[in-house]
Amino acid sequence: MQKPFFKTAALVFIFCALALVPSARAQWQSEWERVQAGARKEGKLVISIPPSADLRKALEEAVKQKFGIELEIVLSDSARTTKRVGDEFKAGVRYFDVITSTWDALSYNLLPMGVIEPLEQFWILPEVKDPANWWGGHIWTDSAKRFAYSPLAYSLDNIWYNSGHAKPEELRTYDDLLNPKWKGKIALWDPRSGGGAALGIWGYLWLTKGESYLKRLVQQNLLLVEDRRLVADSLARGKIAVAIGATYYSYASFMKAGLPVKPLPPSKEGTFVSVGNGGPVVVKNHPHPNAAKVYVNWLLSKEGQTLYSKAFGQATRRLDVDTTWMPEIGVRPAKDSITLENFYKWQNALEEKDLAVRRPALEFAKKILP
Amino acid sequence: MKIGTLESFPAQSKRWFDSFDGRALLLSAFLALVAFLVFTPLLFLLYASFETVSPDGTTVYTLQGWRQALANPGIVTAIYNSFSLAVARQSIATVIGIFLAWLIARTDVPLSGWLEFSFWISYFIPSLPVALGWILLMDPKYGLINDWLASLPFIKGPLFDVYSFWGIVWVHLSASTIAIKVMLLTPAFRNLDAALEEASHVAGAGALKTLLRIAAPIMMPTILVALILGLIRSLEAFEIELILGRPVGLHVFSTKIYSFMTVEPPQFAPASALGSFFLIVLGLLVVFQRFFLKDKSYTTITGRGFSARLIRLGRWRYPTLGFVLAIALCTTVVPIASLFFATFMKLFGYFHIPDPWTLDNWKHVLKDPILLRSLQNTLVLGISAAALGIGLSSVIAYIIVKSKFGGRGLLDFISWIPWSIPGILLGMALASSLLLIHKVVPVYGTMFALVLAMAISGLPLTVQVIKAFLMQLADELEEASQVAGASWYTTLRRILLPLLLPCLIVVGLLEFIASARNISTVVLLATGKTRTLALLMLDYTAGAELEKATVVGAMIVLMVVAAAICARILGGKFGIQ
Repeated sequence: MQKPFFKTAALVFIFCALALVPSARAQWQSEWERVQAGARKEGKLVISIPPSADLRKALEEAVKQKFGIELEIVLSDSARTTKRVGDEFKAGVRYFDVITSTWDALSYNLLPMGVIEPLEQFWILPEVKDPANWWGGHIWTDSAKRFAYSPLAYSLDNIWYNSGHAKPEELRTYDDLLNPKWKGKIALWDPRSGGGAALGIWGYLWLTKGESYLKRLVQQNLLLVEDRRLVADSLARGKIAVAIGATYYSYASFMKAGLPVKPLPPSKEGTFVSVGNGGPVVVKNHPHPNAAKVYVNWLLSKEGQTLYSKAFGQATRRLDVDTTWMPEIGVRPAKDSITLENFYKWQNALEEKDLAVRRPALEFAKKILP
Repeated sequence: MKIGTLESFPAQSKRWFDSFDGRALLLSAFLALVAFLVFTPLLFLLYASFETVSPDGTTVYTLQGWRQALANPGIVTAIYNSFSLAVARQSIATVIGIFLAWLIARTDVPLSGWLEFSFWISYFIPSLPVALGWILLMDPKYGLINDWLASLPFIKGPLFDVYSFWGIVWVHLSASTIAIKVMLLTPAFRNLDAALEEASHVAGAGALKTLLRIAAPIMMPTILVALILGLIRSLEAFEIELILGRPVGLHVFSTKIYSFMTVEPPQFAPASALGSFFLIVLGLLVVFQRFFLKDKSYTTITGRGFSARLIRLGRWRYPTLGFVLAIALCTTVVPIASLFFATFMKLFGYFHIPDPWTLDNWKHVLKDPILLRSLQNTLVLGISAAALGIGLSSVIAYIIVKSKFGGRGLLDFISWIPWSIPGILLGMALASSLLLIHKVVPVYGTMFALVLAMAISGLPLTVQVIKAFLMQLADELEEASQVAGASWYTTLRRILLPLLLPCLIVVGLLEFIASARNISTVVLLATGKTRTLALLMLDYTAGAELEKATVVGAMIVLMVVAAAICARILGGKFGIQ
């Protein structure tokens, strides 16, 4: 008696599910079309992105071509963007729609002020919503998992050497940097300067090697540089033998020119995993609501993440985006190179780790660096 | 309020301005407007120095920012470095500047017009490429001059080190410190009545003694203005100190402020507190200037005959040309050449790599879709800021020098204030001011916000330049026009404007150039739509694409040189020579 009942119930369930799929499909599609039409009417969208002319050009072109939306882009680091957005919000000015940020920069003023919209409500495309498309599922930089989505994850070569002045076998571990031989020969991208990679590696060393190690490292008469290009330039010219903090992006043109700058092979002691400059963050009362939705969805889609990874050199977590070429530019996508467990262990940008590692490490840097 | 400046120009009779009905009201309203424009950012700066955001997001007002600023390690040394660098630069530049300006304006040195023009060009070049150019030549490790000198048998080790106190002084001198002195002093020397020098010669004094005992003392208001402007700008100097000083641990006041603004998270309160400290220094310098000029007359342009005869240098004519030319080339050719070389280099400063030259940088920048818009924005900003700057500064300067308005002393002081705030802080404070009034006057986010910011930030220089010129104009010129029955408009059009025109052209040009080059004041006010070429250059620099940034830098230089040529042609037409 029971068997036919379950059979019937299962059949009814499957039938209902099959009936609902097209309607759900129709629902997101019609919403997506409606939002795109609205966005075309709005005509433009104001966003902030990290300073990169290549990324600016690529985004402008792609969004204009695909959706007919004019992107007005402000290139600025997160700290200055969040200050500006906060000031504008207080004065009732509605300028920015979407900014790019991690939790860290938002936490100083925008999140406490309530200026940020929860992001998930803007997601329309199933390919964005579906956690199965993302390595590690949906990862957020804020612990509330609402405001600052993290579409990127990768590790970088962030210790480089001049092959005319150092050999990789002399620098196998972080402790080798303390060899008196390197006194006055090491440059450090100043972790206080706001560079994510600079603070990332400093925080990693603070966590894994401790404060006494960092004190001894500073005693090596580090050349402290605020500009990553100058770090690379100093290394290429042989002013120093080893440089900590700057990554492939800074060295690319020097390598292309045949100068003797090379990344050290990843240390056995590991290195930090970056979440890049963060993902799209929607500002409350943004002036172009439809265009903002279109942009957020497109940016987190396969197409958007492919473009972002290519134009900016930061690796996406999307599983359907090919990132196997990225090691050529010194970027090791987390999804292709480490386990999820190690990601959580080595990253120091998600809220909890940021508070426990980055901030005290930064305070320590302020205390001991000249 | 007893004002020294006015005592220098006692009113002999009632002027057209004094007889204007309701003038006090009009002037007070004008004073209030200028005070609002200038004081609001200042108040915001002070306000920001006490503002701290607590972890729960609420804003609290404490002295924490001031404590942080004053307890910052090395702050005393940084302030000492700022002052010693400023004094060293200004002492050398003032002596050289007076001498060069006098040679160009008062002697028969050949090509004097072109020599003067070359100093204009030198002033226009952004300081970043100048610094990079000198690094290329004087880096202790790979500098071309050091390399060349090292090949001489009697020289061991690098002779020059650009990363040093004197390296910074040298780069500043070649960048703009000497040039601005020559630009400001040459027109004033030109207005000097040669009869005074001739009298000196008759009394048996030589050319140099005449310069030191007659010309220079008469020129004191302009020299003092140039010196004080120079001192303030030197104390604020930033880019060159950042590039050349920081690698060797030589910090100055402005780089400390920069450090507060760029640390993670940015520390606006201590940065604002340090910025406020600069106001005290400025106040002292302004008081000094007013005290020094009190009860003295510096009139050189009067209604009487005017002799413009030049001093003959005789056999020293061509050696003098060589001397001035060497300095002019050093301050123009070196930086411009390095800038243009850089635009074609795969890597800036790397001559020894295989195949170092490329056209890719130009191709890349010329294909950038926002280049044209940035160029348009720069022109609109430069021309509008020049127009507004000329209008605003002329009225302010005229009131200060030629009127008996009670608030003119205050107006004079107010006109200095924008320079008491370092560029990036001024930009931040102006953004706050415009946001405050946004609901009533919605200019925030528009091009007008940038125009206003540039007109305000340029006020000290433009007002002082026009003021110094007006102080040389005797009241009798206007009075004679009034006596002849001319209306105020006719007096303005036929007497004042023709005399002031060369000076106004210089002022307009200075504003245009400042607007075309400025980054720090406008960066927080600009939007994606109002991005200028200088901000596009910043975008490339921030993305570590220095070679592409130099292409945009070269475009800015071309633009300002074109503006300078236009101004020179116009100036020549209207008697700037």
